[in-house]
Amino acid sequence: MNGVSFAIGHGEFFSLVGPSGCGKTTTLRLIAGFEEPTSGQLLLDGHSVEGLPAYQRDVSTVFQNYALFPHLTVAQNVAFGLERRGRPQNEITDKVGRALELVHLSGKEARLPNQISGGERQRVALARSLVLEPKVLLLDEPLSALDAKLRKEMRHELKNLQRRTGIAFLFVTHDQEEALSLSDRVAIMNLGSLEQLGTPQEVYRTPKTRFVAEFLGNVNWLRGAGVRPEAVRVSRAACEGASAAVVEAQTFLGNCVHLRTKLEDGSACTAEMAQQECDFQAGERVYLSWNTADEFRVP
Amino acid sequence: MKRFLPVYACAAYLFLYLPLLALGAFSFNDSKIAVWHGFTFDWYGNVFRNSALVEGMLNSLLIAVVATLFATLIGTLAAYALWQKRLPWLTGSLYLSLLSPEIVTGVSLLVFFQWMFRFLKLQLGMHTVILAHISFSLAYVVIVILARLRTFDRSLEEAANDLGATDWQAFRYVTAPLLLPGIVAAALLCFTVSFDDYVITSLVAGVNSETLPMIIYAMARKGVSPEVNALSVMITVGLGVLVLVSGRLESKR
Amino acid sequence: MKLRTWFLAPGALVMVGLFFLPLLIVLAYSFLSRGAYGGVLLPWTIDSYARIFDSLYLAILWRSVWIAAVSTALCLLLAFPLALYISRAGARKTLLLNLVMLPFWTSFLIRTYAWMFLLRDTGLINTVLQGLHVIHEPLPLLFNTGAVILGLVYGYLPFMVLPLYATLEKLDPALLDAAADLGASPVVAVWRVVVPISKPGMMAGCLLVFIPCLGAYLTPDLMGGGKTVMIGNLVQNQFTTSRDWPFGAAISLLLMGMVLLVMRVLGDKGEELL
Repeated sequence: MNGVSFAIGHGEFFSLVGPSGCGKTTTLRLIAGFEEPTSGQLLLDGHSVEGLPAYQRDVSTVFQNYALFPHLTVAQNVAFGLERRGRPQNEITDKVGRALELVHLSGKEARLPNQISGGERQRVALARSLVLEPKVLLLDEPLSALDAKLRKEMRHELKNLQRRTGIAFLFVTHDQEEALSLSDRVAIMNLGSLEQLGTPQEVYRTPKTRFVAEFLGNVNWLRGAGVRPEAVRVSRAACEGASAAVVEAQTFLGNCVHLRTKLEDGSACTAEMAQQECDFQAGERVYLSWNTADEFRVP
Repeated sequence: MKRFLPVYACAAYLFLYLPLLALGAFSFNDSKIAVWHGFTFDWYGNVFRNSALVEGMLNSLLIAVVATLFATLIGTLAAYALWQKRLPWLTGSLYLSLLSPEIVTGVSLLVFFQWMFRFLKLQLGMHTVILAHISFSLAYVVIVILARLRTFDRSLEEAANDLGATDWQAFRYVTAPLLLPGIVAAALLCFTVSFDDYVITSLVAGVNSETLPMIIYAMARKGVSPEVNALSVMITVGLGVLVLVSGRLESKR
Repeated sequence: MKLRTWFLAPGALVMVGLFFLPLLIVLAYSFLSRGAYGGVLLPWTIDSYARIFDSLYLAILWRSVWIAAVSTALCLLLAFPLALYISRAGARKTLLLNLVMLPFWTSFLIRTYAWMFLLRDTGLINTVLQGLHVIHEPLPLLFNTGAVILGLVYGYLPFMVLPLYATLEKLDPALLDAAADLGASPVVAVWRVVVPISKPGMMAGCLLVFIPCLGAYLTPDLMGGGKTVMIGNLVQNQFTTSRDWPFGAAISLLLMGMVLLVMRVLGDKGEELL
């Protein structure tokens, strides 16, 4: 890993996103205390924590495979951290009950991990970590083991959870859609380095590197600038600054259509539009234009 | 070929079990020779009336229990440590102790004890047998527990640490409870290995601590006797049950 | 100190104190002279090692290697079809395998004794055969080299079955189908496909059988009636009746050396399996 540096604010929903092998999980493990950095500092609320073992750090991790203790019930799993802190039993029962309510799992206290569904197990993992009220909650690709529909539902739940508890979330994922839809700020990583850090709008609309631009969505590289497909207007009438192009094909994607065109200089350009707007045929001559504000340039 | 294999397998199983079955059948034979004369439980009774045999059995039990307790404890802890950090010299020497001929192990322990006794003013006896048994059963325990640990999900201990458990607490509250069936399986295995040992025990036992295998050996050398048959059946069934239970526990999730 | 260091300490102590240290002392003793009533004395000498080259002892060494080799070969021949059968038995695989291993884990001594019961002059086999008038005098089935080999094969057969089974179980049945498809009869298919693939299992099995056979003590003693002297018996003798500890130590080390050599030769393949 190479000079990665960022700060997370109180109560922030922060995402670390990048392809596999980019170092996001390693970063997470460094913060949690499972790995030691060769150099650098880790500050939690202003206090330095590198060198402290995981069990002394006030951060909590939700593992990708949930890592629920198979021999303990749901309630015992959630109570685990509190018991290690030596909290009195009535306090534990009370907190466990409230944590389970928070994740909508009241009533399942006595079940064992192998008796509940995957989505429920994830919520137990969340409850188990949240009940300790950590300074930061680290989530390692928590939604990747769920099927697509469940994943979308859980996204909303996670966001709600974060708002209600006010705890800072560090969310690690390889799915850029998740990162963009959930976060207050996003950090994109690649090959051990931090490529860009900013709000979802910032990183999407003004990517600083080619990698970030292409990772977060489709890009048309035209005349040295990048333009997103949804920013491209296609019309049969020429207008000021428009580029002439020929329609090649259209792809129906369900909620929109991608129109592939080829410009005069040979470069390709894909425009995105609603199905109703697209009555172009292959071979037709069209004119592409976009707002210069929607352009971005990268080194 | 399709017909040959099952037939062959039957014959092989017969070969494996025939001697024991024959022994078992004739332990009920009302005669001292290998000709069937009638059914009796007499020989079984004789075993318990033979005070030397009973004392030998008690000695063997005591040694096996004590050695098992220590070997299982030490072995489990060692296996856990080896799972955390590979130590080729230790694993290698455990395998070597497992494979080395009993006569060599026995002789080396005898020589070692006698050398120690120059300084300690002790003699061969139950304690040396127990130490010897701990030494050679350790490898069995480590192998069983390590095999269990290899299928163990490491993220469980990380999760425990993450939630505030120290390394010891992670072991005590997460890993050890999950390892329990394996530990019991290893203990049962240890017990059977210890109970049956002859070669090493005979070399380090000294004069006053005769174990059951030593007595059986002496009787076998003199000839075949129905009491030995009966005793053999009891031991085989007893150890067999232990092995079956151990196998059940090993495969339990 | 890390937890694992504490956990490791007792085990390491046992191995060093009750395994390595004793072997070191054996090494030292092998270079000393024999004491009058057992034990050892100065001066240092290599006499014990020199005596090994006496033809009497060389004969014992050779006999041990020969018996161990024959027993191992027989085990391999007998175990292979059995392991093959079990590996293809589907749902009953584990049960069948456990049935093979079960006798092994009960008592080696008793299993050896059981064969004595069957084979001796007044044993079951001779009694039955005489009763059926197949023979008139008892056959000398016990107290000879053949009986020792039988005892060793019987004792260690499960040790050959287990690694063979482990390798054969991983065999893709499609390979045999492919062989048949290409015109191989079942026997040829086994010989040319199954056997080469099961080499690692065979090596592991040979390792696990040859070594105990080489160092066998009980089997030649009981089944051989003390007439078939192998290395193990020779060693035991030096520490009891002959009271020649340095010589016994030397032979023990020789045996250990042979074991290490076999482990080297057969071991790399075998250890993967273990």
